[in-house]
Amino acid sequence: MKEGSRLKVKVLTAGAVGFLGAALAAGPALATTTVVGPVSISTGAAGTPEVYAGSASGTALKLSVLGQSLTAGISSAQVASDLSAVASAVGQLAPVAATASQQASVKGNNQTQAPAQQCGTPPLPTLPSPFPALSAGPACSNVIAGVKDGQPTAMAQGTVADITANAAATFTTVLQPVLAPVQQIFGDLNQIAPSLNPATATVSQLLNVLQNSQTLGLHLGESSSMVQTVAGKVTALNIASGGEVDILGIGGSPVAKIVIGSSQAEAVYDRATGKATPSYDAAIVTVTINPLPATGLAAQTLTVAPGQSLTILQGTPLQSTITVADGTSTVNKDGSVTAVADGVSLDLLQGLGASSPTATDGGIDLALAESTASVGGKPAIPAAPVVAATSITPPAIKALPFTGSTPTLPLAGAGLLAVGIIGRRLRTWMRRPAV
Amino acid sequence: MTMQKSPDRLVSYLRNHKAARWAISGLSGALVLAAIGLLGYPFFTNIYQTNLQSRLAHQLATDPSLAQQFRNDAVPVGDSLTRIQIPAIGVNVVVVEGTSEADLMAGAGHYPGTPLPCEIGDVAIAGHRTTYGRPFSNVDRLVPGDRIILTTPVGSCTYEVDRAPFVVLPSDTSVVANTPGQYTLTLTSCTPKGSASHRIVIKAMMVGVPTQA
Repeated sequence: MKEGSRLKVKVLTAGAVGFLGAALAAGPALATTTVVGPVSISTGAAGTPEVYAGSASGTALKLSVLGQSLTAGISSAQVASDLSAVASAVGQLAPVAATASQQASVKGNNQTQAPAQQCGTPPLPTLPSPFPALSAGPACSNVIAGVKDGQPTAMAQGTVADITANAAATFTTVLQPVLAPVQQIFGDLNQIAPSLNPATATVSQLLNVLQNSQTLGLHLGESSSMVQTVAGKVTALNIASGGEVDILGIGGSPVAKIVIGSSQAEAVYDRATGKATPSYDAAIVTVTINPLPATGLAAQTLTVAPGQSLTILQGTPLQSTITVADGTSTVNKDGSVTAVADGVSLDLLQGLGASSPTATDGGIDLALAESTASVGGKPAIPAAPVVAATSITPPAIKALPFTGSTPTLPLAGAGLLAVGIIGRRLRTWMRRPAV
Repeated sequence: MTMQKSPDRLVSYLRNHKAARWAISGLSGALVLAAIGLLGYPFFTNIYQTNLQSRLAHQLATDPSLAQQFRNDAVPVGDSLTRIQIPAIGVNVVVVEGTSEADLMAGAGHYPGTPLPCEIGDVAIAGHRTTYGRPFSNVDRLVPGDRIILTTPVGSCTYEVDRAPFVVLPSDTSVVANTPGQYTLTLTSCTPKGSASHRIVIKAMMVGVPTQA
């Protein structure tokens, strides 16, 4: 590596746009619907009508860097037996205002609210040097809420825009610690440079190639929430689509590709039996390591199952840790149930922006594919029909039926057994000759 | 000549007469067999009830005339009427119509004259505690909120215990009095276990709506 050469590392910055709390304050309608927890069902007395409630919510992406965070792809749906349905979705939350935020809400039979899809490009602040600016494509939201023939339904979807960054500035404090481990990954750059690009004759030209490549790319899915009342069941379902994270794309193929599957949380309430059932499918993550062809190393694919953790590119500033959480299903005291698929957390490029050249407390943190669903209810208790008052007459029986046993039977049996044994002994004694 | 005392004369007679010894032997054998019968009575009743339940379950599931008889409130005494399930204490038996001693050999019987299962009013069912399969052996453990499911030839319904079990005298028949305008269920059995001095009563109220078969 020539001295003075600089490797411009394009980093997708979290850029981050603010705190979630401030964003919630900016979007009061969303604040009331994103908090989803177990539904609360109270027991009724005779003559109590049926009661049920269901809710589903999810988040496609939560991103944080340097203590600042961004949340994108949020959806929430709720229905209740009072014939109310509410659906909310946000494309992206920013500290100033939410982007592509929508809500549909109805209460009463045979009503529907289905606003048109809303999309927007969130305004993102510019981070101070040396972090490059963050840019994002449009984020969208879709919501539908309705009640038909006494059956409420709510559906919401929040779509995450691709988030990218084109690094325009270089940061010298990061270069040195990055160069050595990059060499470890790729071998002598002088040797591999020609294999990357036949026209690249020098390392400096290679570095120019790297400068125009993305070091980190996020391509994520959406969060879809649905609660519907069909065929005697209330079903709450949330699917948070996963996505793909590419680290250090060189020559068209990333050194590390992290593919996150979708997560799903579902809760179903049977209105006839009053039983609720939760279930979840946690996301599965596949990590593919693609060393450069010049290194002679083969590609490697690893699967990170729920409950497991994996660290890649260890010992380099690009070190990244993938943790896949499992899910939980809970039956609450009132019979309602909650299913949670906890999603995936990625701690990427831990050496960038760290407290020291060898520390790994920097980088970008992502939380993806979180889903929650909750339902509960109580069937109706028939009310007393209006009938003429009649005297309560006991049935024609003198006593409640005998349905037990008496202690005399075993006592009699023991007595007879004793007498029988005595009789057998007496006979034996009788057979002996008289003395 | 000395006078023998009575016991000595009896012993002497038994020693000298083989037939008398055989009689004692036979009598003592019979007493032992009778004792085995008395001590094993609960065990034998359980075997009988198990065989009977098998026939009753088949009748409840397959007899095409049972549904019409149920609708007409004309199920013959001793025939299958409903299945009772109490998940909290593991009860799952077929209840027959009638509460006579012969009817209750099935384990549990429906009080004649009380409403049919899932109908309006107080449905009353009696069950054995310690013999004939002892289906109501653990009814004392039921607590408010426990579910009782009745499955009849024409549908099913669910009741929920609404008060703790309580004890009454056998003569207190008011516990199975009708409850006009309400959907209730009363279970009775003997208490304490092994005794018939009192009756334990469980009260339940219907939840949800009856479903059709």
